[in-house]
Amino acid sequence: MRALIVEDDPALSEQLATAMRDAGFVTDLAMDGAEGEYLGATESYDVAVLDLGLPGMPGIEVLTRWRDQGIGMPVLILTARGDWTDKVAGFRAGADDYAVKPFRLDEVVLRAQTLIRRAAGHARPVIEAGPLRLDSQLGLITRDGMALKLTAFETRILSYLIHHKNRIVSRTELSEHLYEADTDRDFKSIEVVIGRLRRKIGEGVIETRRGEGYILRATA
Amino acid sequence: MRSIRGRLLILAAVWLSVALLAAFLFISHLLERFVTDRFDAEAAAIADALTASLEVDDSRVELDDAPSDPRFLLPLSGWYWQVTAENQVVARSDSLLDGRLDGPAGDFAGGHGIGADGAELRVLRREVTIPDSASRIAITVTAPQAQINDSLRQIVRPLAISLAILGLGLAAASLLQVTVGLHSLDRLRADLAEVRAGRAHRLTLPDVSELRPLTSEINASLDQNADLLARSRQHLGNLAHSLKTPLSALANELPGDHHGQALITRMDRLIGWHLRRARSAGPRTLGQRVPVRPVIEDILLVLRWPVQDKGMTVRTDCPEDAGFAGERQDLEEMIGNLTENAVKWGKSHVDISVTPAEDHLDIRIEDDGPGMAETDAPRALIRGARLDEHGPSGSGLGLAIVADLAALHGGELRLERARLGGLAAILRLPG
Repeated sequence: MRALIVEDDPALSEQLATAMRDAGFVTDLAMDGAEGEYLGATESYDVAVLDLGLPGMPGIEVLTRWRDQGIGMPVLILTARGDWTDKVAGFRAGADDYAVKPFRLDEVVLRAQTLIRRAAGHARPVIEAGPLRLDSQLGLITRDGMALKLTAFETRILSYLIHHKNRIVSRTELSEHLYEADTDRDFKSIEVVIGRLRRKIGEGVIETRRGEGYILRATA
Repeated sequence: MRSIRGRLLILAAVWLSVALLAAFLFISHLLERFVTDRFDAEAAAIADALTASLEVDDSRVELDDAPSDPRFLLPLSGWYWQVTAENQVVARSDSLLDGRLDGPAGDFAGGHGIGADGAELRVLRREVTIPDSASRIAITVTAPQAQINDSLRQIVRPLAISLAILGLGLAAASLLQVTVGLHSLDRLRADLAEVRAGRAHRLTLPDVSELRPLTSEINASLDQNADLLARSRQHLGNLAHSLKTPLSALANELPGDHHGQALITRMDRLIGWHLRRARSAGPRTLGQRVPVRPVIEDILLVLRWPVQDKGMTVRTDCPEDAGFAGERQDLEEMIGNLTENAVKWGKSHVDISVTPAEDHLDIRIEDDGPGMAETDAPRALIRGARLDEHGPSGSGLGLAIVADLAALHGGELRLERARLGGLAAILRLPG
């Protein structure tokens, strides 16, 4: 899962980025509104954490521009004032949730995970896909009740596929949600990891559609 | 209490009375002179006729021909004439009978005298000399003063009546004038009341040029007020942001069980508390009236996910025209905190109903949660009661904030047992 953090305070933004990365997110960091707006508009993210009090371009403005361009990723706003006027303004501009400063980092991470799950249409924190179960809050994937031993990269790919089960996910889409901005995107290594995943979870769960991408079949 | 209307009316009454009285005195004086001059002229004509008829016969003065005016024939009519030579009566009018007119010597007209019957007389006396006689001849002609007074009364009465009618007309006119003139002030006052009640933002410019500068000044002052408020809001928001962001970083830098965390929580609450106090500095901002329904809709938009996650039903009953005379931010804060509480504690139902009344507004938010023990309710409403206590951010603070804001607007927050079984929070606010 890929997250964008737009926060101008150097200490807080580093803390947020670290916490998100620790939770398994591929995280990009923007230090002002204009950069955040640009990244959000040009890259693919599963969730954005957006501070409302940004220098240059206020958070509300950034959010409004994203939504005007049809960018629908879930957005968690951070507000310092914590009054309802701020929250209402944020939600009107298209925010999905809010956290009031000072907040606990794990709370922000939890909310970000919840937003991703909801955006994929899953109401409950545990997503089941055939024999697989993803606990989106713990980032834990089990097969028939047994925890899978997966690397961070494997977990990212598999949890993205579980979130978007029964739908073809192209390699490009997958790569966009696996790598940070300005890093080389390597389709070859994705194929290798998919191969490893098939061995760990069993054949027939992840299908390859030639020229289209992958699909995780979950009939249950 | 002084009033412009009263002052103008008293002033109008005073000058009207003075002017009318002066007019009455002047005109009646003119008329009196006109009437008495006429009588004097008549008397003079008689005297002329008598003078012309004087003859000297053997050095005795005689009257050749008496005036034939019938008024001088009627006995004691007050119309008398008499001719004397060397103080001896030479001739007299029949009306005088045997009487004699005595009086001071000399030439005069308009003198006063008393007739034989005691009636007042107006007297003309003339001393003449005629050729061929050395005698001092005096001619006296009188007219009855009562008749003069009668004539005067006949003119003065209608004069007084017509002046009185004129005065009443002028009084009515000035009443009308004052009322019409002050109508614009009444409109201005009504306009200002609308602004104060929050139904208008500015005053409409009146069509009278005298009140335009005043209206413009008031409008400018209203604008300045709004501008100042917006700017201080902005500054306060910036202040909160610049304090709370590093506070957030600090909180995450310290271990979760560090004793500094409690201090950070306290600082956060203090910032929030003083921010809110400063923001709602005035009891009511001029010129605001906030429709309630969109605010409820906005709050429910923010609480969409918690409501959905708990599978709750939120029923809203709010008339379209329900309005709150105050700041939108404050209304959002009050409804937001109460609704969030209800969603947090409720099991499956939250009811929000708004009832506008004549001059106030009742907002009732209830849930089907565990409710609140009656002994806890007063404590929950004590402003700032939880300010210094530790605990998860925002817990229990909401109700105190709402009670505080409601009080600032001259309203109140009451807590009751809900029909649904949980807590019912009833906000009474200026409508």
